[in-house]
Amino acid sequence: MENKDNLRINLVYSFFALLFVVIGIRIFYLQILQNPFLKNLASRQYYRLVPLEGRRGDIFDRTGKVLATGMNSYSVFADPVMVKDAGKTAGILAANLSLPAGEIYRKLAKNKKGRFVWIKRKVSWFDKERIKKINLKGIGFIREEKRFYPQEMLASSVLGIVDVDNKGLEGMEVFYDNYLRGKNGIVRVLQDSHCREIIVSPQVITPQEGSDIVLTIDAQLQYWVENYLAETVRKFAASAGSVVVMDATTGEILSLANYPAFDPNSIDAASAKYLKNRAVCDMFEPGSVFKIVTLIAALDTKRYGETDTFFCENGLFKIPGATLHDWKPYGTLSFREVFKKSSNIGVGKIANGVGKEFIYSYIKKLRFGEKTGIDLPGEEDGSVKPLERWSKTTPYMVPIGQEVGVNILQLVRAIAVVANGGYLVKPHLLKSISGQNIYKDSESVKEYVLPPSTVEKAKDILISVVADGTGKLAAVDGIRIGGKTGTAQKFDFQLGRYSPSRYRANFVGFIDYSTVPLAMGITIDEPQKSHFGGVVAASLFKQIAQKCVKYLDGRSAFAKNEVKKDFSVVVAE
Amino acid sequence: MMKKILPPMLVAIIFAALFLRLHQKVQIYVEAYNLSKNYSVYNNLADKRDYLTYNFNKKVSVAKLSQWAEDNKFSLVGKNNVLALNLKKEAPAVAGRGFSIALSRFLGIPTASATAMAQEKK
Repeated sequence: MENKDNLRINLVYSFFALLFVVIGIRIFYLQILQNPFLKNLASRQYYRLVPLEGRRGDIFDRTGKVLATGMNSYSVFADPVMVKDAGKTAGILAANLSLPAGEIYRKLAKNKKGRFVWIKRKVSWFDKERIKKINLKGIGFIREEKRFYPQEMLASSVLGIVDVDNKGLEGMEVFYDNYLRGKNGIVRVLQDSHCREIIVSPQVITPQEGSDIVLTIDAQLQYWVENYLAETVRKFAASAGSVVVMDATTGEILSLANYPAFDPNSIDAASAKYLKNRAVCDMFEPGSVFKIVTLIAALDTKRYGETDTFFCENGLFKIPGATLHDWKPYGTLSFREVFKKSSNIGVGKIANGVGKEFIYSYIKKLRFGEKTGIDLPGEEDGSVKPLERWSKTTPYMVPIGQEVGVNILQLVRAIAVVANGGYLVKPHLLKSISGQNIYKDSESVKEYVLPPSTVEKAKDILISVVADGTGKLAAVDGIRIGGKTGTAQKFDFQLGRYSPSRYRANFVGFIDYSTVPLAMGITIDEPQKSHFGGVVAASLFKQIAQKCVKYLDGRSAFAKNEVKKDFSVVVAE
Repeated sequence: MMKKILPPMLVAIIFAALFLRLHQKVQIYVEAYNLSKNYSVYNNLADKRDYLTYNFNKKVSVAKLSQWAEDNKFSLVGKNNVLALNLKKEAPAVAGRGFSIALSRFLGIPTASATAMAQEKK
């Protein structure tokens, strides 16, 4: 009996002992052998690596005004698994975010197994706070940087735009994207079961901020140029226009304006077509403004001078394969008068007297047919027929600005040679870059192409064009201004010839200004009420020139403390 | 006696040491939590600041300021312009002015002529 009892006791004892040994082995297996694996698994559930966005660099104008900067915003996301009532949630979000409810509902319903779906990127702090107060289940926010352009449409074609991930798409934003873009860092966070961050580790891989860039653009000048350009385009019912104002000695661009423009803060389908930077991308036949090449060639080769005269065939001149017309019938004109009155026949004769080889060489010397190298994407290099492909008509057409394609920058670069004493400069928009590990000033690139003697004579003749020639409307009292007007017929591909009703009105000129000699180019596409460069573009040049000189005078006087200040002015009651 | 006290004392010391270590770890987590909370507060304030800056910049862009200056007929500073600062209001030095103003007001006559003369004198 006792033995039987002992046996039972021993059996039960052995059973429990075995049980505990098995549990002990299991514990040993999990806690000791599987410890690294399980610890890792737990860590991945509760610890998360969060990327810290490196702030994109700011863009300033030359006076320090902010043109582009970043601001914190919130992107709304949903965890479809956690969303209880997709319909109700979609309705609430739609009302607060101005999105179609159906679209949100589709995102929530379609991705039922997924744990993440964007609802809307980069909403304002105000919208985020409003949605947060509602406390919707399964809706969260991620903090992201949004690109903001405080000056709205000002210099928009220069600045460009970025995409939703802050990557440059147009303009300076894309050209200097490598400098502007920051480098992301990482931080480890401890989160709860609802994926809310509880603790952020103080040890981070610090994000690197992007570099800031300073442009050569003067925001105040840019505003006036854009305003006047818009007024002119509207006044003459034109389709578009561009203006470039450049420091003739350094190539720094003080203003580059296009009309119509866009607001980079809100690009929609309607404004997307204005993203094209016409000043850089538009190639056109320049018309009479191109006569400056013949002027320079004739003076530099000393083939012709002030004492020479030319018979302008009373406005009709037969050339091989075509007939040259003047806009007004002229008899005999002096060398100076040919350019003052912009006689096509006179210039055609001068150009053929100089020789097509020389004309071609001066075209290439002034770098027509080549990109200026401006720091903007999409520049057109223009079109200059190689000499071997010149027909019998070409030596008469090219000097008057037909059968050749240019962009407005190339024209400004060419006129700057006359303004600055004979140097070809490189137009550029970047003044300096400064960042955590970099500081770089832009360099002025200058190439000596013409001797001062040629340039001075050309300058004098171009000043007379404005003083009492076709460019009279560009004249400003008390300021030496020179330039050349151009009224270019546009080629109609449907008609197969030059259009009788579609023109481009152009003016390129310089302001012989002691502080900063300026070169300026204006092109107005398809003006309707008048198509003459001397009317449309020259009057715009005058407006801008007056403002430029007054503004730069004032800034210079202020900087040198030359402005008279009176601290004691009293106003009688 | 010592042999009896030593084991419980040892256990107590080890327990105290482990407890202190645990307390230290918990403190670190508490501090980290407070730091995160402060980061949260900071981020929220920075976001609010950005939003206000956004609104402010929209109102004082170059375009808006320039338009305001044009509407209020400001002209550009130049060498030949006098930049007037600290405009002061001062009563013009005209004898009996106070009486004449009071009388003019009583009779409903404008006082412009007296002040215009004073301005001209200045």
